[in-house]
Amino acid sequence: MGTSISHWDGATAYFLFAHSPSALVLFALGVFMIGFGLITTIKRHEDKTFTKHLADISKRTDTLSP
Amino acid sequence: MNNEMLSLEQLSQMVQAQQAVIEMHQSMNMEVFYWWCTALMLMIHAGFLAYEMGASRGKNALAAGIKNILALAMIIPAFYLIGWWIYLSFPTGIIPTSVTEALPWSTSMGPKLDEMGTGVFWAAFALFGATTGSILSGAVIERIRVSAFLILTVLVGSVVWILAAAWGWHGDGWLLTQYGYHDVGAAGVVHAVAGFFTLGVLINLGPRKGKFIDGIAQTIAPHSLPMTLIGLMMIIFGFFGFLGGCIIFNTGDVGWTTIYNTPTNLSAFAFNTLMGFAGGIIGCYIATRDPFWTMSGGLVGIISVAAGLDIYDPALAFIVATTAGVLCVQGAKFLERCGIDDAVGAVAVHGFAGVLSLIMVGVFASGMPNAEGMPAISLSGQLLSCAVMIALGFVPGYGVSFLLKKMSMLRVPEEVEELGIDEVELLAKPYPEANVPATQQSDVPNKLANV
Repeated sequence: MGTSISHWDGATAYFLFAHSPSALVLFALGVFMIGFGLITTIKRHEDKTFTKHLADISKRTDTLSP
Repeated sequence: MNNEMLSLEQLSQMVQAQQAVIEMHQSMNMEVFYWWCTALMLMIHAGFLAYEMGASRGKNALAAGIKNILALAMIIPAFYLIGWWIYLSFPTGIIPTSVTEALPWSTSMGPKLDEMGTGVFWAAFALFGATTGSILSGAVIERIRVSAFLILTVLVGSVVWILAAAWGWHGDGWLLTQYGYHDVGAAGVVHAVAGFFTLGVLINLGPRKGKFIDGIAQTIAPHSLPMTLIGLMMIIFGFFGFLGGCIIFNTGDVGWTTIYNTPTNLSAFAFNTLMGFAGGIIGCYIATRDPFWTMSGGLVGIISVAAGLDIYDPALAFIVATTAGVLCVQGAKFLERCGIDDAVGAVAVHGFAGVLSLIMVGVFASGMPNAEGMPAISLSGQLLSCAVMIALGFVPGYGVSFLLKKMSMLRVPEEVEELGIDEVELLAKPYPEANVPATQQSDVPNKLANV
């Protein structure tokens, strides 16, 4: 599906989908989305774990208070 | 014996065939050279990983490590998307020239049979960028949020430093063409830029909890000084790949040149890298008697002579590096007096040493010719370029970290810092069996007991 050459004679850019600029743009967009998604998920994870930790501390403080 | 006479045409064909073989082998050798430089550069990141984990307290060791690993994984694709394009598009300033072949959807940015070299050059530059990310990474340990760090590291590693390289390294870079900028070992475009970017971030990030008590700086001891020292030595090892990647392996009859197309060779780099390394260690040892700073001195020394690795007398390089070792420690002390908590001394080691490196070339090499048509090296040109590198690093580092701080995205909450990021965020401990007493007899016989 992605083969960009049919024979090696005279071949230059021979990598998969090299003949299809739209596919290459799509893959580049995919790279961006994965990077952006990683940062977003890490931020979400941080928010969740930090909130939980603060709640745990507050619960402990409540239990200890007379 | 066959004494058949060859015609001139046949001889010419044979020579052309031989020439094609030689050219192909030269291109292959060039690729092999940068391939191994890139591999060696990965050792820098292994070193930074050990260095930062060791420099952290035990409760943050894994967080420091994961941050460093993710920085490498983020900068590489980000550099693929825009870094190479920035380098080729912005040599004349901030208005891009059209270089479509460097865009990620160009056929030049992938396996191509008629273009040897693009991939290995890109790889070496991507790892230069990753080095800038690692420089930031060590300074901000134990209190920065990983998400904020990744935004900052992508910015410095795939945008900021490469813009500096476009201005100061590219053949049409305006600092070179107008001021004769000379920085063959990336002291300015990598180290000064990353060091001052880090300073901008540190101002907004603030010190670690407990670093300053009543305004007096306290020592926060690394949890594993040996790991830190070994990490630093690994970084030094990787620097031979880094500096090798700064030299141009030309095909044809030109031989080695600097990034500015002036003649040089690996021997010049070898003399001055090692003499700088040794001088820096001695300078930092004299100034501190501290193991951490003594080993960091090796880096200070190399960076302080990096801008002029091609032209120094090795003995002069040694003296410059020793002086830089002493001065950079004073710089680190000054930062601490200003309330800046740089956990690993990155601003002094990379930022101050990088700037010093540029200035020293201006002092000692003024009048030295650059490549044909370029202005000669001058102190004024180097000083102006220093100001550009400092501003180019500091402004985006300060500006973006300021925005992140305003959005409460920069720093972990105080309670998390107190317990340690590993336990709260990663749910893991670096040494789970540490301090756990043995409670039952081991199944493994103690062979020494019967001796």
